[in-house]
Amino acid sequence: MFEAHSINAEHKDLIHDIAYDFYGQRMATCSSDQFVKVWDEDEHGNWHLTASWKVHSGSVWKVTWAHPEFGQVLATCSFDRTAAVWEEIVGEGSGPGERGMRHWVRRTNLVDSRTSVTDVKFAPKTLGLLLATCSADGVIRIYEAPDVMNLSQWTLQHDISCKLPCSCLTWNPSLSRLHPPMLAVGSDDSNTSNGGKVFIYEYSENSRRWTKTETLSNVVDPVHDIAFAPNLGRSFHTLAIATKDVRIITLKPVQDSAQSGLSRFEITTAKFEDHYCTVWRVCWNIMGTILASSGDDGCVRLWKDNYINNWKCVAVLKGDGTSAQSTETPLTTTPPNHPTGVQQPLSTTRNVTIATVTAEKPTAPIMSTSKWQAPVTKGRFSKSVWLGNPAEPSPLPPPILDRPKSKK
Amino acid sequence: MDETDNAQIIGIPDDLCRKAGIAATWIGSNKIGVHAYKHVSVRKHCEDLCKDLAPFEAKVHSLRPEVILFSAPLRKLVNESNGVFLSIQKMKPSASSDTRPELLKHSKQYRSILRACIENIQDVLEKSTPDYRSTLEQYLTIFYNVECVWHLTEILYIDAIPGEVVLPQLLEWVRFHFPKRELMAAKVLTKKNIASELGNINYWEAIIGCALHGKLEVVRALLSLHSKADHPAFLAAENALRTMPIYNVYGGYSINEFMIRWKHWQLDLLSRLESKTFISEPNLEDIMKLVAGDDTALWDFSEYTDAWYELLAAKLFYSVPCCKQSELSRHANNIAAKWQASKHQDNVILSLMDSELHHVIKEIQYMNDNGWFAAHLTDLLYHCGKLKVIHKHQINVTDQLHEALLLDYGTTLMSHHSLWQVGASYLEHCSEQGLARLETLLQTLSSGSEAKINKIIDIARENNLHNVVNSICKIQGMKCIRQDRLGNALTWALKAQDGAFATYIADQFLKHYAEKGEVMCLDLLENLGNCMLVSDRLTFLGKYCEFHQTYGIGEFKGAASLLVSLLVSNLTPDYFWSTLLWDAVPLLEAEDVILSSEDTFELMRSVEEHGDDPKFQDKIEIFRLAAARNLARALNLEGCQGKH
Repeated sequence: MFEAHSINAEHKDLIHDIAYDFYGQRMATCSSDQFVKVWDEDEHGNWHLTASWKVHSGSVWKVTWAHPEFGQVLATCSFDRTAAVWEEIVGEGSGPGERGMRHWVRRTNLVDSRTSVTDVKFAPKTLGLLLATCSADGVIRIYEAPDVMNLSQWTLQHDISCKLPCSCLTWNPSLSRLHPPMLAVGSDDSNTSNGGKVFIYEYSENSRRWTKTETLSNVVDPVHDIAFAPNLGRSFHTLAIATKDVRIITLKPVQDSAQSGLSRFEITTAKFEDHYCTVWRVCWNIMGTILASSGDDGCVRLWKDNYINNWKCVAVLKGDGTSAQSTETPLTTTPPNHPTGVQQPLSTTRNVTIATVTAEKPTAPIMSTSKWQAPVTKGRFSKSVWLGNPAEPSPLPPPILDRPKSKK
Repeated sequence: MDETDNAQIIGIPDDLCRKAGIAATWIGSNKIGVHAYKHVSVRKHCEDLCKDLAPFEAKVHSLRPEVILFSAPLRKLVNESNGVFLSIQKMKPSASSDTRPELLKHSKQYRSILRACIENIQDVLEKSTPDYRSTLEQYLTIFYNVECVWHLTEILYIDAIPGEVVLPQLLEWVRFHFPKRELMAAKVLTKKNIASELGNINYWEAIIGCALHGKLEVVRALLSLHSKADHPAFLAAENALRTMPIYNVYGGYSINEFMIRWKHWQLDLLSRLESKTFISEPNLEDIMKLVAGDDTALWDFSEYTDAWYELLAAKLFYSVPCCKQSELSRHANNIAAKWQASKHQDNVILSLMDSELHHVIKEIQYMNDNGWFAAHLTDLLYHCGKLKVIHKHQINVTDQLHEALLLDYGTTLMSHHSLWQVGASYLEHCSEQGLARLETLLQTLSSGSEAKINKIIDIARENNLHNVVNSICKIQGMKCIRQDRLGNALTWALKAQDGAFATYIADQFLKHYAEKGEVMCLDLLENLGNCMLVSDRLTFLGKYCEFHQTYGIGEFKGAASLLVSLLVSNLTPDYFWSTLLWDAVPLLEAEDVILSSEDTFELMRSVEEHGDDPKFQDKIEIFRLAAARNLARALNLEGCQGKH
């Protein structure tokens, strides 16, 4: 069983992306309503809206947090062809209530793209404060804030054209100094004859340039999302791709490939077609042990690998409007005419208990001569890593022998 | 190894999610944020699409799996078992001495912790409210099953069975876990009524239950309470039960000798059965048939058992009393198949008897105990050297399996606000990926109170994760800077021994002084001690504060020499020269000659080199004049002193 907290995000349009900060205690949501909202979790697990402001003049596709070493910093990208960097500052005003007030200010507006900016991601912190964007016209741009104490100065360091419209990008988060900075870009170009849709770029310290070192030629369908898994000491890189199915690709660097002229990586692909249709999003947990994929079938599937790197689906999440088992209460806590644009702290958190609905396949019929009535275990407990097999009825335990209790 | 496990389906009670579809984002290691999501092409706007979905409430659901180990009655289990786990890790794998007895002791400790936990849950259960009751009952079920499997594993794999004859331990195990009918028998016996069969409806059930568990003394005692206990049938039964040979390794007989005696006794009993000695008492006759090893009688009594392994124990006791561990599998499979055992627990126990530990470990991951059992039992077996898991490509993956289970368990605990240190201790013992995980998880935990952050830093230090320490201190320091608390920021920089960061902060202090003429956090800066050596700029700042301090208490000579040493040290930042030079003027103009001619030359050299700061232009003439006057006085004085 899962414990759930539900909040009404109060966006007036679809939410396109949510991002959690490094600690998982702040959440940013962005939407087609051109707003970003920031939510803070209190010690009881309730989320409170602490900021809401108009960030762009078009749909906001993605929102992402910078590493907290750089302060409280967000980046957004939009249909309005721009990306922006936002910083939360603590007010220094002297008026009553002004001191200590927090608000978000736009530090920069990155206007180099001539088409919709489809993704924006901060680089791993070891590379400094770097931001990569990609856009529908097929250009990847890498910006840097040379002085991390002054976020209003950003310089365009590289722009890399990759010919096909870009839909998503991901930095390799590995902090190892054994390999150069790396990023992967996906294209949602629908023409399969254009070849591979995922490109790996690596930065060469010598030439000070980003070069395409690999094209995943076996991914020819449109790619909608892409994510490197946190590396955590592994000797290979793991890349998840959302295309017409879920792909989990491992890239094992090949030694001395420069001389031999062969591929830089030994590539293995695992393919999962469980969604039976297009996959839109992929997301790793911070340890890179479980992947969540969202498909057009309306399901989120969770994939976990075992100790011998076999991936398998361990849970399916799915929207369910009529869940009889939910103990949900009406979710509107703010008055319906709540004035928008006015920032006021409010909590719209409700506790909802979400029960497991069914097992995907019926479990084997229980054949037993036992006369014990099994307690209702309807998925009450599942292994914390969501490996549970909760439909298992078990007999009630016998009384404890050692300490017989007299019944009154 | 085929993976046939089913994924569970979790319904999110949100109509918009149902209509539009959903997307998920991870929060840390095991929480997930879910929201309604519809892919919108970049090239066309989503207005028409959204019309279908209106009116809508865009909700975000954050989900996390319920971890039962975090509930109050189970906290003790988590903490105490951690102690046993750590003491197992401390055991030295020495070739000379057998670690088996030591590990058996640890296994028993684990089991006694489990038992205490079960008893504790029962105590709580009695006082609890009805809706909490069912939860607790489920905990009981889970941990009862865990204990049962653990006990058998201990018998078969950890304990050394004398002579490999497994029956006595097996009986003990069955008796321990199915005490119901023995309690029944005890109740009958305490009444001590003659003709008990009339007063107790479950008289025969108690006898059968005890007979199935091989509790012959109890059976005899119960039979003696029968109203016809002095009839020949009962006397014959008493005689047969009394004389039944029971195998005991230390009994002085070899297995062969024992088998001859036992066969002889069995033949005797069979002939009595054939001669219809017990025919007048059908219940008694059935029991004697069971005792004589009759299979039909055994299965007739299966309704008095709760699990197939109870029947297995009876089967072995009356038919194969010297069953060795290696033969156990065959008998177990026969019984289980006939019983049609198919429950999870059944499969686990059968696999144990089949010596398929790999399968056992796979199954016990589904005990719904959040991995507690799998991690600890696997670790114990691993240290016993009993675990050998071969992957299909003939690769030994035992280490990986062992580590994967510990990693999962440790990671689960790390997600709890007060059990994270326990979790960290498991990760510390995973040689492959443990440190990398610890590195990631510690950093994400490091928010909240300063006490907690310091604890995290200590653990990171113990594990030589210096970059974690640096990063945490940097984040805290940056937070302080943004709140204008430079002193605190400096403390964090010093904690991490982060030179570059300390330089940055020292710069802020100096700039602040250069502009405003006041030193912030004087008490901290005056007490830097050795810490100031972490960065040159900080050293300069520290020394400069010392100069002010010395000057403040009127030690002008000392202050002057500090100032001169700062001037010649080459540590002065460009923006600070004018401040430093201006500080010299009062000393130059003092009534007594404080600065020697050499010092004054040094000052004059510095002003020529660094006095070009525009802020200093209006002061440079004053400085030169003061220096010249002091030089004159100093030379005069030194000249006089030189003569003497």
